[in-house]
Amino acid sequence: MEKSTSAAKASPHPGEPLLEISNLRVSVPDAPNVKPIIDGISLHINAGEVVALVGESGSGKSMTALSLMQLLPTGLTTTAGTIKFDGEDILTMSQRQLNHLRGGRIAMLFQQPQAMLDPTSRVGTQVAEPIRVHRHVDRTTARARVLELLGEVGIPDPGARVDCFSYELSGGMAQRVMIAAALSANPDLLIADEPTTALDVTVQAQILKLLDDERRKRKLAVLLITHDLSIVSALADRVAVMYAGRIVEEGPTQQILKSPQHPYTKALIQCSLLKADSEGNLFSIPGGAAQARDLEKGCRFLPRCGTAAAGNLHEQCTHLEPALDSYNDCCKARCWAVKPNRAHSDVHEERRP
Amino acid sequence: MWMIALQRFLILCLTLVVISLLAFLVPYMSGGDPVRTIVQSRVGDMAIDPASVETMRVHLGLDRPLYVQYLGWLWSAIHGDFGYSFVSRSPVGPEVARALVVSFTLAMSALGIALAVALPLGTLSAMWPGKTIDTVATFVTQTFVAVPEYWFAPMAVLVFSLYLGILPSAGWDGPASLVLPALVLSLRPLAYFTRVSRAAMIDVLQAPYITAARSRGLNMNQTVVHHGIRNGAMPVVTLFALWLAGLLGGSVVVEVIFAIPGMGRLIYEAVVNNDVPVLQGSFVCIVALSVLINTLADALYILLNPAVRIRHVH
Ligand SMILES: Nc1ncnc2c1ncn2[C@@H]1O[C@H](COP(=O)(O)OP(=O)(O)OP(=O)(O)O)[C@@H](O)[C@H]1O
Ligand code: SF4
Ligand SMILES: [Mg+2]
Repeated sequence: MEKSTSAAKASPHPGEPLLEISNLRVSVPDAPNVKPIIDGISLHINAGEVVALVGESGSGKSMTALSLMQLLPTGLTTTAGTIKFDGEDILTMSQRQLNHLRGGRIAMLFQQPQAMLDPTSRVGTQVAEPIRVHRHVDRTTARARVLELLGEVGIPDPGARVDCFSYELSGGMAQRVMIAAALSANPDLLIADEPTTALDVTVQAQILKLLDDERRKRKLAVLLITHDLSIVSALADRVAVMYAGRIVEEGPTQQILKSPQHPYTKALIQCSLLKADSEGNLFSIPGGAAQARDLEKGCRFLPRCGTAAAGNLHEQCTHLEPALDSYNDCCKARCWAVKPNRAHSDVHEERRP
Repeated sequence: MWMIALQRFLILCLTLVVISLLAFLVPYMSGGDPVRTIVQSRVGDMAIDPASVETMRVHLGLDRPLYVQYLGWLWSAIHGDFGYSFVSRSPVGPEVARALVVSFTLAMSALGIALAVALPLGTLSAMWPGKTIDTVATFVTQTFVAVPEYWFAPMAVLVFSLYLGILPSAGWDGPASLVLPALVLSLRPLAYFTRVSRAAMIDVLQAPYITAARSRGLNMNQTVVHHGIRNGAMPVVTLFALWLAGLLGGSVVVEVIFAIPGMGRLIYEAVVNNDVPVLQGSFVCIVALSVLINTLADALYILLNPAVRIRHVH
């Protein structure tokens, strides 16, 4: 599929990204000895752009998404950083402003579409909610619009489905309903948190095709969370790789996938190829990310990193954590083994001892 | 779905047979000789003539084998004929029916009040756990569970009848006489309903579809009203039915204190007077009605929660 970053929606702040996350931190305030879940990530999304966020389970992708919506589960809060959306910091917004933003300008899709629908409420009612609360349309107009939307997202016989309950829908249909709801108030940014992980492969392809078509038609910016690199390569303009609450590599999709620099990104790509070595064993990254956040100092990937030993970097990697530095005109990585290109570095992050 | 209905119906019938058997056996279980009791109740404190006891036994058909008596009794009972009260000599059926209407009215009023207070209170304390509203709710429910009705009832009479003089203190005539007993009777179910709806709502508020609703721009209140309460009310529906069934014959204290001619008082007096036919009739009617109410509650539960329907179909 062809990608486009052009033809973005008119923004009141031309030249600025639609969304700009800076040094965002999400912590568990009630448990002071638990390290932050998200530890200082920075990421921007331009209007109409598709940015993928990848990383293994538990790296903090969903929490990043939920902090953009300010819908973090109880117990978690954003404790540092800014999230500028269209020039305004989401973290300092009132509940009123946030309600206006949610569903109105930023919409979200989730991994388990059926669980995301209220079992006691009709599908049509839920799809209509964004237009009802954001556009203040009456019931009849909303219903007409919902029928139209359900048709647009490829639901056969919308007239019959509009009054269904979630249990009457398959996973794919439920996700189409969620997409209809997400698009109904015409948002600028769509956060899609593993929208196809729970679906089987053929349905997955249909849903991705639908998402891609709709976002082109509507010039939507998308934050696409996934751990499927083939989805990334098909849909995303840029990709950010997350590891243990941090971004470890970021850049244009094709460059990152073709020549990854960070050992974790390399390993991730290796895994996704499902290639066996000469002895017939499939490649997998040794160890787990479970305790990575608890490392006192040094690189969080060190316990699983082969590059450190090979490159004689062990001492450095143990004591100092690398910063996310530019290594060429468009890509950044957080690794001592990657030579930074200072001419392009725009990160003013301190290197932690 | 129909299989479920049929299954339910068979269970219902079986329950009724068992109940009727138990009810029939009431006088035999109490150990005494019911015929002696009847004769004794007619002659007062005087010594009774054994011959008249036997005449009475034959007259009442109590000399026949037990199963014949049971079948005869069951046949009449099915036709609403539970015999005559030993005390008032009037037919038991209409007497029980009148009392049931009274108790049903009282119970529904009390549970209506309980529900009207408990759902919002439970929901609000679930929305702000640990905050003032939650603390107040906890205090109120603990008090209502701990303090017995025979304390609340006189207090209510003291304040509203004697001191303020705005409500009658006893009797059963008109809506005004319903207020105090219904209020007193509502306190305990109110406490339990609040507890259950709070717990249910705390679970519901963690549900993914709540996050999804918020992500569409609904504020907290809209989310709770449109997607919280219906889901959070599910367990309360079941509890409501259980309480309704329980209160039909179980509001003895309140009915006696407020002199209300309901089932509680009817049973109380029948026990005191060893009025076997009234006991049997009350017992059968109450249990049959309870079973019916719970069946209806299950049906309502399925109506309220469409997701349950599919599980019933498969
Ligand atoms: N309520 C919570 N309290 C404390 N820690 C939490 C809470 N919810 C999530 N976490 C932690 O936050 C981390 C990030 O979780 P998150 O759901 O963002 O991961 P993810 O990258 O989306 O993973 P997945 O691919 O499995 O969806 C996890 O390590 C998890 O243990
Ligand atoms: S900094 Fe060192 S340990 Fe970390 S990824 Fe790079 S080489 Fe590996
Ligand atoms: Mg996730």
